[in-house]
Amino acid sequence: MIDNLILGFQTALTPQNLLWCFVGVLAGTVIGLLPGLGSTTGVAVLLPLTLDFEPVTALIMLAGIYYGAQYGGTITSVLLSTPGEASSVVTTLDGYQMARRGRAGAALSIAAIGSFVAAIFSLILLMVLAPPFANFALKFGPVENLSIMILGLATIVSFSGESRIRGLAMASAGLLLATVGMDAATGTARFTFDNVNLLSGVPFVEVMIGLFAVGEVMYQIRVGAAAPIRTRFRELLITRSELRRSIGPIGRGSVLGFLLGCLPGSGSTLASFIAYGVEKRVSRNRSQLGQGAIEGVASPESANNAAANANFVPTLTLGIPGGGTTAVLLGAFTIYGLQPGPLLFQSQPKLVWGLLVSFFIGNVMLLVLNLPMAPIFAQMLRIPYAYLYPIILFTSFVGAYSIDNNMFSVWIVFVAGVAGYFMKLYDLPMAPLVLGLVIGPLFEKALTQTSALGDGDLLIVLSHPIALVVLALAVLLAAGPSLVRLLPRNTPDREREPAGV
Amino acid sequence: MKRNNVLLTAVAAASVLLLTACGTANGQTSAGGDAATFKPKGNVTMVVPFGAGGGSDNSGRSIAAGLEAAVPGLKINTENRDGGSGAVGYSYFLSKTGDPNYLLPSETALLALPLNTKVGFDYTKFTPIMKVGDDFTLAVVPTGSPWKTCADAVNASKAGRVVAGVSGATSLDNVVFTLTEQATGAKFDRVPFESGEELLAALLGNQIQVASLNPGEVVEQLKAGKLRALCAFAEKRYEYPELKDIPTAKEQGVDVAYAQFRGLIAPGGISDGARTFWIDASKKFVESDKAQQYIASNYLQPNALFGDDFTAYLNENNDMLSKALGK
Amino acid sequence: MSTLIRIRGNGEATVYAMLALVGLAAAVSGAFYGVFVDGGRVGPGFLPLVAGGLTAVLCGWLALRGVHGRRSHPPGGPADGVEPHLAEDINPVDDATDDDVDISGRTRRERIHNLWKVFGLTLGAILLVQVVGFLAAFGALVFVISTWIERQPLLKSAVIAAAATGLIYGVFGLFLEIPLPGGLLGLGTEG
Repeated sequence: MIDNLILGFQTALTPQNLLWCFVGVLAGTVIGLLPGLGSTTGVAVLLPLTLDFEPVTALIMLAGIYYGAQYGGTITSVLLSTPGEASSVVTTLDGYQMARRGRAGAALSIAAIGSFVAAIFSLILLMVLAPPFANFALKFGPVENLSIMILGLATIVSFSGESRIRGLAMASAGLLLATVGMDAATGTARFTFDNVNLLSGVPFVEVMIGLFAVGEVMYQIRVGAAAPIRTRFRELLITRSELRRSIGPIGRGSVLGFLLGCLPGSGSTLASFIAYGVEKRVSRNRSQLGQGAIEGVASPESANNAAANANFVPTLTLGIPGGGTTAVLLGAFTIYGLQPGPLLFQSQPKLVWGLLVSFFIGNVMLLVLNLPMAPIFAQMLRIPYAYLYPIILFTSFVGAYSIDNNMFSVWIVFVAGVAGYFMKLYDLPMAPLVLGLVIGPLFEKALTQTSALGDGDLLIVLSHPIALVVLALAVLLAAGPSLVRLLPRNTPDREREPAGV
Repeated sequence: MKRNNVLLTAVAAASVLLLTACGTANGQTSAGGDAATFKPKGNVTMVVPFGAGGGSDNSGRSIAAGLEAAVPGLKINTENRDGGSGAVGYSYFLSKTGDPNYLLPSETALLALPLNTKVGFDYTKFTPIMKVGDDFTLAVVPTGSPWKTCADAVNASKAGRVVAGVSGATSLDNVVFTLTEQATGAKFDRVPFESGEELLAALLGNQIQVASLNPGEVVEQLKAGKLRALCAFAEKRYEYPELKDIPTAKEQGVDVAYAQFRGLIAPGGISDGARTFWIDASKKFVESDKAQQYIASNYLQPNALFGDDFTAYLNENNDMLSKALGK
Repeated sequence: MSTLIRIRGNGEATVYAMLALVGLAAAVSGAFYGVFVDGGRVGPGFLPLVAGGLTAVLCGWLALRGVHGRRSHPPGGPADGVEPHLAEDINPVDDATDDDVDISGRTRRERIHNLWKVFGLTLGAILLVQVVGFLAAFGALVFVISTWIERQPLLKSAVIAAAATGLIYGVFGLFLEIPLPGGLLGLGTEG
């Protein structure tokens, strides 16, 4: 172990690798910032640049883009309600509200701190316990995945705002939207109206950009220009009590994110939704969540970062990608003539440990980069909205185009933008819609597989203990309030920040 | 050796970058050899109908780099047009009919997509240039499985339920299972997955009993002793040292061989001169180290075919596929 | 003021009613895709039927409740574990009358007009991509919104629009090598 670490540091600390690690995390931050361009696209488009590098250097840089994007994705979610990454959708709920109250600096700072803590936590687990976690993850077959998706859907109640029925209605609409496209099991084209672009389904990143970014711009035009938020630099810094409130959410987010991230295919978006849902149940300030509570930023941001790192557990130990971006990274391994698989740790110790150590270094760089930048980024809100919003529109549409180099994405953003405006106008909750759209394909896949495994009998769930435990958690999460009311209440934390509502 | 190739790719990639930065002003490309009647003007675009990092992307970029090395002065940019299991990319390619400055790294989706879904194209709408090689599948089981051969699996399926994982309705592995059923009377109970990686995880976690995967997808698991190969659904055994001991299905009495091809197509309606140019360039590519390296690192069986031979292969393969898919 | 609420309620009800119809249509076509296949296994029509059905029922109910004049969100409170979120932010707008002006001195009616103008301009920019190219179309969008809608000075708007276009060209076109369509003028980064 110690030998491996020393080997890792020797590899990662060469000037060349340090430089490219920095370039990677910086490029990642920028790519995360841009709407539409997520880490998957970012790694894919920058892959050709690294072809002449040493494999370890190339992978250090590409991985830097990956986790750097997790940091960058937060910035525009908080400032402009424009999630740069799908895993930052949840962050807009409280982050944007904080920004509108002049606490953007604090929101960005806690996101950076939470991301950092979660990253370090999950990296230590990744280094020490990757093989056992990978073997545990293999126990999650279709039946267990089905229960995880139900757990994800159970968090809908946390995102529904005033009326749970609206939340459920929007989540059903999201699930329905997710069924558009070619059904993977039978190849049936559903609701595609003979449009080839729809065969792969309604692309949710584009929907997300439309709903959140374009919808918000249009809604702001209707509301009318507000005075730019002018705050003194001091007020942009995070306060001691905000930090204290964030400890629990960061811890819970990190653990949840790591566990979900280990499972191939679940991804950091689901982790951020579930972490927020849990916070809505257990946080002492749960009643403020949704109105700009710092817990609502700390928890999902920690979870998505922990999950992003945990994605490397199956990737490095089994050669099975944990998510979309790690799949592209695995493709990169092959391009450099490396065969990712169960033997990678033995056959390429220098590469694997160098890469893992570079994650530590990269995350330190990101923290150092992001903490002082947070208040500076927050100054962006001083730009008059008259100039800011046309540029937001431009960036949103060009970002959408660059996902698949296809004008179809641009049209989806436009349509979703119109829909987002009306949803905001009539107070229809958007997060459950996005949740339904994200979970829909995964839920349907797990459901189809479970049904096929049981030869039509879904009750085979009962013979899978892990699935039963997860389902019990889902019930707790969904029916929590009624159960919690039976318990003695915690006294809400009265020394909280002035809520301003 | 390998390092050299990587360097070459890098130089090629770097020059592509430079050229893109300068726009399309760089007109003349000098084509070597006998196809002097046609030379691509400006940059050529390789349209990859799948996302970056996958098998199609890998093949597109390798062929692009190889063609650039084979024809001095040729510049090929690679563009990913992902979506609809390849349908978006192929449809975009269809819109380039008559334009010899576009190429596409083709595979079995070219045949399977039109058979299964309503799309605007089929393989006759394009100009087949080259088939590089064949990617067969291996039947693999977890190491703990009692089966040693494909015949064991077939017999087990006649006696009771055998759960096989497949990656989609039109996928290569599903076709192979269907052909096996048609050849032997076996019955595999299929659980649908969406990719080779998902199947790997399900095999390792013992959620399914057998799957049929490309050698490149499982070779590391075989080396690590996590999975066992029962047979190769190929005409002849592999020559790669790590695969040469795997018997073919036919040796075990299961007469099934079906491969996913990897090749190159140009848009339909291009001039004869352009077609000849690309076929000649492809012939040079296949003989190059780059092609050898691509074939070896993806564990393909090298079976190069060009032009009309490739078209004949597509006709034959299409008939077989439509029978297997029951269309 | 109550009239405004009722109009809003009706608009809301219309949205829900439309969603309910979409859900219903989807549920019905789901049945045609095959709800169960191979003797009882979940088929391609299962989720469309279930999700479409749920959408139809829930949205239908919300629409009816809207028409009957009740505000569809019940008076929420901490006891329910859910909060009226953003209520204070939203309501002043909707309950406001024309004498509510923003810092640029625009009335509510003007702002709603502006909103639809921006929607129209954006649509126009997307359509113009095929003609003048992506960068030119959206660069022009930034300029036209700043000057025509937001009544900002011409020169300043032109500089900002040009700078934004240049930056986006640099990041997307040069750095990320995205093949942005050039339209008929060929002002893109394609091929």
